[in-house]
Amino acid sequence: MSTYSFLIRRVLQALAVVLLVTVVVFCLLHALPGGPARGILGPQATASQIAAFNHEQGLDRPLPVQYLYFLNQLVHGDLGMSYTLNEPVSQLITERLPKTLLLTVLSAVIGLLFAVPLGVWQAVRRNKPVDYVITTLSFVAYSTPVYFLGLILVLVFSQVLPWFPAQAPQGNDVADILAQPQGLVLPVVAGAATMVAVFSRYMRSATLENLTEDYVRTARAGGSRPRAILTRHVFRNSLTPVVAMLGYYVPVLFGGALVVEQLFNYPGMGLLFWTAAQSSDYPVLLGCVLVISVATVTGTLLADILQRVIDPRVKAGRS
Amino acid sequence: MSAVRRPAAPAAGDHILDLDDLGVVFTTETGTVQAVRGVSLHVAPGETLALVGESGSGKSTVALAAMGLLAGNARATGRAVVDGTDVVGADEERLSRLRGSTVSMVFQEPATALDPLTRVGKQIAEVIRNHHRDVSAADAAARAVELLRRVGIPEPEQRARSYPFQLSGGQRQRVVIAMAIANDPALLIADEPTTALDVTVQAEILDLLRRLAAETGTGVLLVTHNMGVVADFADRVAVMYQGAVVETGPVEDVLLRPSHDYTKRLLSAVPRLSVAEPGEGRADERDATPPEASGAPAVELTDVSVVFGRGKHAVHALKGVSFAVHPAETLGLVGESGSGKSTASRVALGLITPTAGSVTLFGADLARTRARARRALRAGIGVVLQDPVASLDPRMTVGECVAEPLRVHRRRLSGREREALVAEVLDRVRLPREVARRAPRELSGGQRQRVSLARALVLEPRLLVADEPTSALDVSVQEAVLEVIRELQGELGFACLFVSHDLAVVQQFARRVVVMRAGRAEEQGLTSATLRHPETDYTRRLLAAVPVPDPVVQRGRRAERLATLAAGRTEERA
Repeated sequence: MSTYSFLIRRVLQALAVVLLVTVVVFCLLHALPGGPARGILGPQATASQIAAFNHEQGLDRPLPVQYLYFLNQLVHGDLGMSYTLNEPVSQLITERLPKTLLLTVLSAVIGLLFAVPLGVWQAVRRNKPVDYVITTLSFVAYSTPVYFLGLILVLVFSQVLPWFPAQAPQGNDVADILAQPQGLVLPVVAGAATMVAVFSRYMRSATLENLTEDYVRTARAGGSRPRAILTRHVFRNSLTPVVAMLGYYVPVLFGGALVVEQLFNYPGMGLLFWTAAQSSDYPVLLGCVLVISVATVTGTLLADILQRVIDPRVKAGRS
Repeated sequence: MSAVRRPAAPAAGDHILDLDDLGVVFTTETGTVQAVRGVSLHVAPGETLALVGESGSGKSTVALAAMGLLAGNARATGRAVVDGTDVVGADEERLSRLRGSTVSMVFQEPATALDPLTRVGKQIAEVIRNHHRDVSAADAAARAVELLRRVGIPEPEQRARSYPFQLSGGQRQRVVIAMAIANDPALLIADEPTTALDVTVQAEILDLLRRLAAETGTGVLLVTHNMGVVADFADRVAVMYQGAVVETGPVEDVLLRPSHDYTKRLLSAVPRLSVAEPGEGRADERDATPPEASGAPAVELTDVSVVFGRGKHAVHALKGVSFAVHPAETLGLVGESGSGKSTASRVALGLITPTAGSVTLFGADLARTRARARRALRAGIGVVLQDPVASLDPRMTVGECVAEPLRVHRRRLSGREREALVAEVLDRVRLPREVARRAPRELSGGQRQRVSLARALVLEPRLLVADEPTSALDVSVQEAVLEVIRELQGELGFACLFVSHDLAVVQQFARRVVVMRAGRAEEQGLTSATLRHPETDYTRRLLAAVPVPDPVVQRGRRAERLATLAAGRTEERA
């Protein structure tokens, strides 16, 4: 398959998945107790008020018609109004999403910058003290709830040692936030910790597996030094499965952002989601779900493309 | 790289490889294993020493020890001197300078020997630059192309940019060889270099190795289990048994006049391809008609075609294949990889529905039988597959493995009746009844294959389909397993469809043979006639490529084959 037709096919697939997600989101909207009307008008609303609202909003029409209407609004970027913040959901999201992307991308990149070398180092020093120490730390980091880890970070690096602020930078756009980088350190570290733990494990096992492959023996038989074999052959081969995992990790990253943003009062999607959940602000919640779904689909799409770039066999459909 | 050989270092004497009292011990969880002990051998420049033995004899361990490539849990003792350097105890830096330059290696499995993500030209260039830092990347790439040309890869400029998966098995092995000869090594170690390849490809690779070694005066240590390859290639032979060398000598002496008992036993177990004497006529064909008296064929394929996939990616695995297997007879299905022999056997089993043509199993047309009836028909087939490790469930005991067909097809049997049948069939395949309680992994390869056979026979099938049943086994074990099948066929009278790539085995084992090529039945008839006096060029080429374990005969066959090839080439040009 040519790269071009692959891309078209894969993007169409992604669009189909997103369309399915909209169906699910739409159904969720209508599965709310009393429907959207009850949600908006509140528990005191009378039956006639609800009926009037439903008629006004077109909610008494058949579901498929309503779905098409919902879809039409969606395509035009209309996700409804927030019940509590009195702002269009789409505007809330366009305001918050870049900030969350900044936080998660920073956490992911920094996490990987540590995880990948650590994993390789562990594989090369397998069953040596270094390996055991990093393995132990990984399991501790992996099993510590992000919330707890964040609290400890604040306690140690903000209270005991006054190095970093305990609160994330506030501001309306990414530039404002980037202007105060010291405030980003603790949230990013909290977000990256699990990433380091998980991906150093992946990288370790992928590298270990590749070190026993026949091609390593062939390279040694040709006089290649261990370090060259590691950097030229083993590293790239070990990266392929890790890249595939990365795509599936996007929702986990967003989940982490939810906690981290709440903890550090970082004005992103996670905090928006958190406050919306507490005040039953359904349109906002559903908007967030939609965004996270799209992000997940995009993540796997990017991982697939990346894998094609790294591994020529994927392109030939032989993997 | 100049073709001029550097003189061997004076310290090494006349030998490029000198093993002196070499021992290798593996440390495992269950204790230490002495894999190799007291091995003393040498290889002179320009000479080929074959190291032969069965699995577990330690022959590959010796080869790896000479390269300093032993696994981490192995420890070598004694001396392994390559061109004046003792490999035993040498540090990694010293070994790196030696490997790929003075001594290099060709491995068994070309499918996995190359880095899948690096272009082959780059992998060859890496070996050059490992030892010649002053060579620029562009020059190394150009030399890699030259090397690919030297090992006989067509369009080397394009192929250098290929990834390993884009090449065939034979081409990959040529790439591995190109890497091995990149820096004109004084010693080449080849560990089963042709075992994973088809016979015709094997012949080409052996020709190539012989030519390269002769051109540069390289000494070769050839590790193999195949006596035909030894006869074709080696000057001297060392026979290994249980970690030690039991016999060494010139190839004619060891293969034709073996002195050690083990060598004699090993050689007598090797199936020999019987070749026609010059002037011998084609055998009497009257017997070629199948034994109609014994009834309808157990399985019959009529004009069967199988297509996998569709459109431009469609693969035509079988094209109009017809054959029949009659009760109490064995039909051999031979051919190279990709010829469709395994597909044909799966069609016979009813596992693949043909795209066109018909399959009759015990007189019933499979296309017209309903699922339930087809199931009943299948109870009449037993199957033995190639890999005795993978075809038995490791979580079941041997008894449970053998009893499984009974659970499926004879549901009304009580546990006691089942046990009795299992015990009976274990007797039949000459296994002690006690193995029923053991796990498959506790048994040897040959024993496991007998368990597979017992499982295939427990329903007293009318048809046995054996797909390469002995290809993973040593020759002595192969002989025993084939003997058991033959005896049981005499007792039980089942028809046998025997799929194999080994022409010598088929010649001994099957009454009739079908030669498959690219999805077609190229030729079929009585084995005695077809494999001695083939009617098609293809079968003739196939037979000519099989090395026979007699160095004198093999030399003649090789000359004849090369002459035929050369004649063919001249004709093409004309």
